[in-house]
Amino acid sequence: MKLLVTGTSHLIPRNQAWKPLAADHELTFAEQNEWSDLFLREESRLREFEAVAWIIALEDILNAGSDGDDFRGTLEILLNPLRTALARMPKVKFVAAWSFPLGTSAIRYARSESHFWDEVAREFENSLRELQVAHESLYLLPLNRAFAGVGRNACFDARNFYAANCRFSFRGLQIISESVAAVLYRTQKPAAKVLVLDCDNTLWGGVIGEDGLDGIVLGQDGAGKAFQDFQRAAKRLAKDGTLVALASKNNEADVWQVFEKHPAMILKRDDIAAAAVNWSEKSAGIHAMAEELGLGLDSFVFWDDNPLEREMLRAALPQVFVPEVPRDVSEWGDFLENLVVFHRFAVTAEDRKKLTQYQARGKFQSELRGSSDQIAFLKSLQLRPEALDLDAALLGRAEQLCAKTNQFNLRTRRHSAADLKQLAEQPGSVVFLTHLQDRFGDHGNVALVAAVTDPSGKAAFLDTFLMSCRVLGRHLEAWMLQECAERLRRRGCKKLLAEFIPSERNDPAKKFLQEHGFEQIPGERRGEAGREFPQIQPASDLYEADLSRLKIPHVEIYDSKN
Amino acid sequence: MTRKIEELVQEQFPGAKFDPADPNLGVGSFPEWDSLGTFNLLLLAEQTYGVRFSTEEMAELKSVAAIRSRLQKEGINA
Repeated sequence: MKLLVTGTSHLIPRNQAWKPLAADHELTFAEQNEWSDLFLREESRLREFEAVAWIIALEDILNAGSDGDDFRGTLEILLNPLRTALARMPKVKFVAAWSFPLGTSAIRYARSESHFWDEVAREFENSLRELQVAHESLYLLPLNRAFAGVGRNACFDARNFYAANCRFSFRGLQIISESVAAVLYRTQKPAAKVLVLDCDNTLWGGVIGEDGLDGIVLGQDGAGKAFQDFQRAAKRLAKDGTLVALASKNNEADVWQVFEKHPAMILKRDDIAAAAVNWSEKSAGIHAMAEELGLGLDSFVFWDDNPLEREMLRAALPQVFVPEVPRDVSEWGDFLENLVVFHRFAVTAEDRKKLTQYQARGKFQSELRGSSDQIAFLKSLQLRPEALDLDAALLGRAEQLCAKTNQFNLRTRRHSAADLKQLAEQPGSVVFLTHLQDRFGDHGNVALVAAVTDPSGKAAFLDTFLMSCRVLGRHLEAWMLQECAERLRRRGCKKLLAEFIPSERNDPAKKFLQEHGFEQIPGERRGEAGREFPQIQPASDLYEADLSRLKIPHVEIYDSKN
Repeated sequence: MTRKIEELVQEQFPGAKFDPADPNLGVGSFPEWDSLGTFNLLLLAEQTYGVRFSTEEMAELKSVAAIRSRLQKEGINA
């Protein structure tokens, strides 16, 4: 990203401490305190940037001992320009980082709880949190917390202040750099979704196949407790929506026996979303689990105590993140807890339902594979789809689907809520979310369709057609197309154009159009289509269907309901 | 192996053209080495050699030769 670094201190451009941030972003440093002018002035160069790191040392602008009203007024001088910039440039991401002097006296805090800086910092953070409610582009970075890991004193340097007007030490700047990089990284790439755990000497001490249920180390004092705490950390991740899976070279029955019979186990069989317990290479097992769960390998993290297994996995599946596990099991619980790859900005109610959803998906797929007549099986599911018109309450979910759906997605356009609102308001357009329920549960709003028409209303173009991978295999896409075609026909539309834009992940949607009654538009007619619908991309596979003759396969699965 | 100060100069000013054998190599030798450049180089030297310069030294150590003789006081031959 093009990132502007600015704040109340001199932030030492080109210092080696900025390396972690400069590795992935193009940094520009504003002059010290130039930020308020940049934030306030309408035609400033702020609009050239995609993100701003705003770094505030509160002691740069306030002196201890100011009375209450005084410091509030000064904080407003800081916050007003930020408010203006946030409102004016909603697409620019702001990371607001701040530090303040922290009292460490044993005596001063012994009989009173709050002092000048504590009050200032509380007020400042409250104001920023309030701003955050209105601005999704604002991210907060309380530096004293980020500094605590290495000790706050190591992060400040009075000499740097007198020599160069910078409050922070080299280490302090390095931590700011790493922390801003971490926040920006998470805005671009979602957290890991699956923690794959080895079993022997990872979930418990010893080897179940040799030591037996009574011989493994788990729950007793010492290492046994540490293994339990490691399991607790994994269980906490599972509660917040990270899937926990197993990859172990073992007899499957032995491993499940521990999960079901060992009294000290914290993780239970129900916590496990997928398992590859066999004598094959772990990379093969992880590959199979990725397919089963419908998730990319880059959302997997593999934890194994054995350095050889880790090395083999890194070589076989470089997309999987394999942390260097500490040698001592007593450090594992904290290490897992602090593994940033799993950290998210917030945990939603939707996240907490993940495990149940993926377990239902696994059960559906194994039943589907096991059935001799798949159509009869799908009919028996009592599939109940429903098309929901896109109103204000559903815009957020529609935007989220555009942002997160990679596999079954014809064009992978990452529309914002504002874009989608505009699409839905276009005359003649057909835009709806699809809600699905069946015997396996309520899957929620899992798909989005948006078709726009040309000015005559006779031809339409499928702008967005996507479906969450957790309901793949039910031919819901056929039902969605049918519903869309029906709505367009009722408005007198004759022809539907659609395109497939290949991405790294959308192979599952590649054949959808050919297999559902569409014919490819030859190269010489692309130009004509492009004039009707300028959103058509030059390097796509372009198709059309005659709506009066369109025959969509598999929709009979849904007939019982209609 | 102790890193040479000239290597640090190269790391801090990656685009700069200079003669590492120049006995007067210091602030002003090339445009990138200005007073901010000195500050950055000294912070890099602190990290590399595990030393600490005082506020006064931050203003005085403006050349490779000056940094080298300061490091020698702590027994570091860089």
